[in-house]
Amino acid sequence: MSSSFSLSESRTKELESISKKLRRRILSVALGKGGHIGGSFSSIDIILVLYKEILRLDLQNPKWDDRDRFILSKGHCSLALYAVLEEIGVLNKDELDTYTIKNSRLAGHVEDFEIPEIELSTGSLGHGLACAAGSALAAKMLNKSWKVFCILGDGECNEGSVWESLLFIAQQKLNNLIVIIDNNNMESLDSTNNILSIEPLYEKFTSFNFEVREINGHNLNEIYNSIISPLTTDKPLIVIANTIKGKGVSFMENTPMWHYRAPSETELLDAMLELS
Amino acid sequence: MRTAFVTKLTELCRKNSNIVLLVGDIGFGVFEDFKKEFPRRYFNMGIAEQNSIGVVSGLAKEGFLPIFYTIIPFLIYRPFEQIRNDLCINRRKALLVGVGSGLSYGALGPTHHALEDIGVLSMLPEIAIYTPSSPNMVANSLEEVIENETGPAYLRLGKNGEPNLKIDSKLQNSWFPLRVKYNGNNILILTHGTFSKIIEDIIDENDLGGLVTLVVIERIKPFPKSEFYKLADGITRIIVIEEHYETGGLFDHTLRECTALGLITKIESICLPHKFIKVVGSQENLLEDLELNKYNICNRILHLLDNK
Repeated sequence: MSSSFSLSESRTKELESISKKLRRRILSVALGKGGHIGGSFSSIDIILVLYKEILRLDLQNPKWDDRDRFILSKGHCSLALYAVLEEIGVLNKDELDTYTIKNSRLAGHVEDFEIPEIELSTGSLGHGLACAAGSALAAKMLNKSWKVFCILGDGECNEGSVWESLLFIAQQKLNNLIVIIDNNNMESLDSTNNILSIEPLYEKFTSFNFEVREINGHNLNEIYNSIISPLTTDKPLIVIANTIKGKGVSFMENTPMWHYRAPSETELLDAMLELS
Repeated sequence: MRTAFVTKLTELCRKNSNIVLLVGDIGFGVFEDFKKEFPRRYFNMGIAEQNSIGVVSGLAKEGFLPIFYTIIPFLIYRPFEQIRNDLCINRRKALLVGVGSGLSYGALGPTHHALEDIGVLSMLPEIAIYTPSSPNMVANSLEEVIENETGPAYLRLGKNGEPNLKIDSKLQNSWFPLRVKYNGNNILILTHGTFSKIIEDIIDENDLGGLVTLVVIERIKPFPKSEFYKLADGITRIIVIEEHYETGGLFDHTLRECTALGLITKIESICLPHKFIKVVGSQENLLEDLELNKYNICNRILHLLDNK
């Protein structure tokens, strides 16, 4: 079914192909030096749809006043963001190869020091949402139409600061801020439910006065639709994107070891086959 | 100091439409007039300091000049990492205004005392630390931050009703990183904040102006090196007096500067003992109990001057 709030079938196929390509790219970069592969693979489809289909940006003018703002609060998933930024030409061709090496612009966690398109340096969890709220409040005060998008992890929702920010966002009715939860139900060492459960998440967010949409976070059309369909209330929106940590490579999926790891050459070959 | 802050802030807000005031649910009645005049530029953020600092960062990023006002421990200790990451690493121009320096909120107990704040923030790159001693200095410091700072800054206030200093009068409408009074030959007394008035009075009442030079520091970080170097050259003795622990306070900053300068100088301190103050009482009661009231400080200064 297609509507004005859906991606066409051909566009969806094209993006799916890019998504696989970027996963392969991430693995080739992580070979020998490691990276947060699991979370990058759970969030990359959301980041891809945002940058390719939703964010209003001027790539020639990264600080264009009216651009949409994107904040990756789970800054350890930098590989996913960098791969998308390389894909759309914000990073130089092949720049991702410099990830974490001396004098690179690309640190292990997202840093904005030399990349003006990155809105906020993140790394410690539970910070990005408050900063996003500040930007959204500024837009309201300035009567600007740009929006702020912020991706958090479900594990990140263990942080009390996240809930402080949710209270504030609802209180100020910041419906120009779209919160997306990369809900892979995994933290570093185990499942979120086994460590410090945040369920029932849908009910929690609803009771915090948000409009909540729950989707398959690897279905590109659902991601697109959930973000751009008009709000049915005046409440701000939270999208719970149910995802799989390590999505796309069977032996990485839902496996704590792949939270942060450098694939061996054999593992890389096996993974590439699955992603081909 | 609080009244001076609000008065000056109101004046500056009339000139600069980017200034936004965020308050951590404190200050009953303090901001009523401000709210009336600037209803869209005042936010009570509730009791949520981590979120508040993040919001400050976001507002600053979008071109506003946010000022977050609350009691010092909640301002500095609770959201320390937000200050570090969201304001300092991301380098936002914003102002944190803390009330209750030292033992200003003495009777409220050690959770509300602020004896580590300068030390805690001194560890962070980027952030400036202003420690005004009087209502006049508060106004001047606030204007200095808004006009000339480029990154995050912290303004440390006492409470309310502090007197101005005589040292203020000559230079009333100007800001200086430090102010100098008297012209003693070779002894410097360095101080800041609420102790400055006490020290000024002690020097006057005991006619010590020929023996010591009083230096009131208004901005501890970055330390006013060049001004200090000129004053410290040839000095044989420095006494640092402050309502803060030795660790991390003006005393530590002074030691470091003297070392950097290669000054072989005897440096004494009259600071708070390094412990949590669990005795109940007002600021005056606690300072008396700790032998840090005016009488005690005077005796200690005289004793130090006698023991060259």
